Amino acid sequence: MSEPTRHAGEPIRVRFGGLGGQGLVTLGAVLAEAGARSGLHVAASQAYGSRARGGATRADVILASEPIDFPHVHQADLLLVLAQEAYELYLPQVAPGGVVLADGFFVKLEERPGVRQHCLAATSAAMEQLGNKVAANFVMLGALLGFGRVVGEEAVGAAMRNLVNKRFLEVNRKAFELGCGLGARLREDTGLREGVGPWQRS
Amino acid sequence: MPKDDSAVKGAQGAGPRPEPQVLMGNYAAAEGALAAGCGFYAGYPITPSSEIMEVLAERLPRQGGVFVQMEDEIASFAAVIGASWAGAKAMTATAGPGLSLMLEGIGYASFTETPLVLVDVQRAGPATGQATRVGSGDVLQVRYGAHGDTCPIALSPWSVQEMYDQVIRAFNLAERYRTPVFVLADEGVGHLRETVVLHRDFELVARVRGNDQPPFGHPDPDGVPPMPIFGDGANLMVTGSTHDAWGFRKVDDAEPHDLLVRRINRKILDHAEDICEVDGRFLDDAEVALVAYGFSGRSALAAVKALRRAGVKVGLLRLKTLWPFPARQVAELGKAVRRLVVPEMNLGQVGGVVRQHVRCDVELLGQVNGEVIEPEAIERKVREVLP
Repeated sequence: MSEPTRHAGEPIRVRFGGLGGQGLVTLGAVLAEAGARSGLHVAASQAYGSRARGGATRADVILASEPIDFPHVHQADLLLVLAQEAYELYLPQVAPGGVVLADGFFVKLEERPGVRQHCLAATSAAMEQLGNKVAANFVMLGALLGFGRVVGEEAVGAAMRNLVNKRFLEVNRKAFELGCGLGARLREDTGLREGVGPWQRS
Repeated sequence: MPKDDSAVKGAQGAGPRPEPQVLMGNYAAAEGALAAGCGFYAGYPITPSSEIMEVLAERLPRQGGVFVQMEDEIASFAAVIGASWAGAKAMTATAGPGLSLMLEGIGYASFTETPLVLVDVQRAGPATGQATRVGSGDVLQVRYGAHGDTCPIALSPWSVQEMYDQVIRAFNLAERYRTPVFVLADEGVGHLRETVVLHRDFELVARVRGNDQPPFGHPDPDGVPPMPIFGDGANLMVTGSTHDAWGFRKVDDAEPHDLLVRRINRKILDHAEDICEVDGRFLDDAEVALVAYGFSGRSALAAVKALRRAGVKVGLLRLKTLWPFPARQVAELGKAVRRLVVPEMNLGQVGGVVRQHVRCDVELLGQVNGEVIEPEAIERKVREVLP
């Protein structure tokens, strides 16, 4: 498989896809704040149904080194997806050369030329190692960081302290670290060398 | 007309400039209200505006203000009117269905010259439509929804920063002109998270009070009378029926009615130059120009930049004020370009108004599918209509 066709410094468009109640909007907010703390221009948006739980939901984040004119995402460079329904809905909106990271617990991958797709055991790991299925969202955020290094890890920690309910901070922090490990291993396995966003670890 | 010397420094004075932070547009609107010295909020939660209420429910009482969740939007708006006459800077926020319920109060507030701020975070209508989806279909309703002749002020933010800045400006305009002011946001901006600086780099307009002058009359036909408040000692009477300069009902006489209706309109229209703000980009050599507002302005700017890279001479006039309509600026633009394109998330509400002010062709790009307009759609439209 080829490396993503992106150049360092270009804006990166991240989409979290799943169902209402899986905590995707929180992930978008955390990633956006972490991006700003990493010195990037950011924009985060979301689309969700009027139900409190269920229904395909997305949270989108743009990370850029220049000011962002149009702040929504209609083609994602990275899709992180936690539900089959959302996977089927958003896969066609992944940019050519884009990457899909899917929670293997919920998603069965299908062929799509020009898009690299990987399954991660996010929900399984959250259940087995943390005893908390709901923390799978932060496992996925960790996987994004470990795999793509789109913002600084410390910046994510600071954003989580600011945005995540204190009662769940500890379990989510552990979930994030667990995900970082999963993402880093995937990165190694796939031989990805460069980061995939405008932020590069110095 | 209140003068600029009635302005005072921001509520907490000008300190060091705060750090940028990432906030949702609705949170920034609430921060703007707090910074402007809002003392009263009454409202009824409705998607996609509820975050404004959520923040103010917690923060306003801590700042010495009053927060009330009312039984519905009709009562909310009535409470805001009452609070304003008790001396508070007062506000509410809602979305289309709530705005419809508030219309009676909006007309009443215009006719009684009650300063207040209403943030309307527009969603996809008509009726309850799609609660979580975007639209900008309330534009003409805020202009013409109230029966009788009124002349509201409406601002249109395109970023999280402007949600903050324009709510502050809305309070200032409300006090300066003694009138309801709308911040006509949309779900796209209300739920957007981006970087904002909650600066204190502004002045606040203090209400001109006065117990010994007529509260509803002015020697100038476009003047703004001082506003006494209940509890200050004036014999004050506020009525939605036609009233003379001292507030006495005049429900059969021609002259006081004519005088009052004309003045509440002229006090806004005669000061359009002070109220109307526009933002022009790439207009110097443009042959085609986009006229856009709110979130669609962001789509339009991205489209303009993409078209410019391809050598197309296109520019953007973004309306930061929608009402009173920036008629002079739009008319001048209409003379300078060959064609105008108006992208908006309705079926041409502002496009139709633009047509009233220019002789050149005006192309409408209306989208009502509950999604924001993609820059590519605007690019295609511009290429289609290139002279």
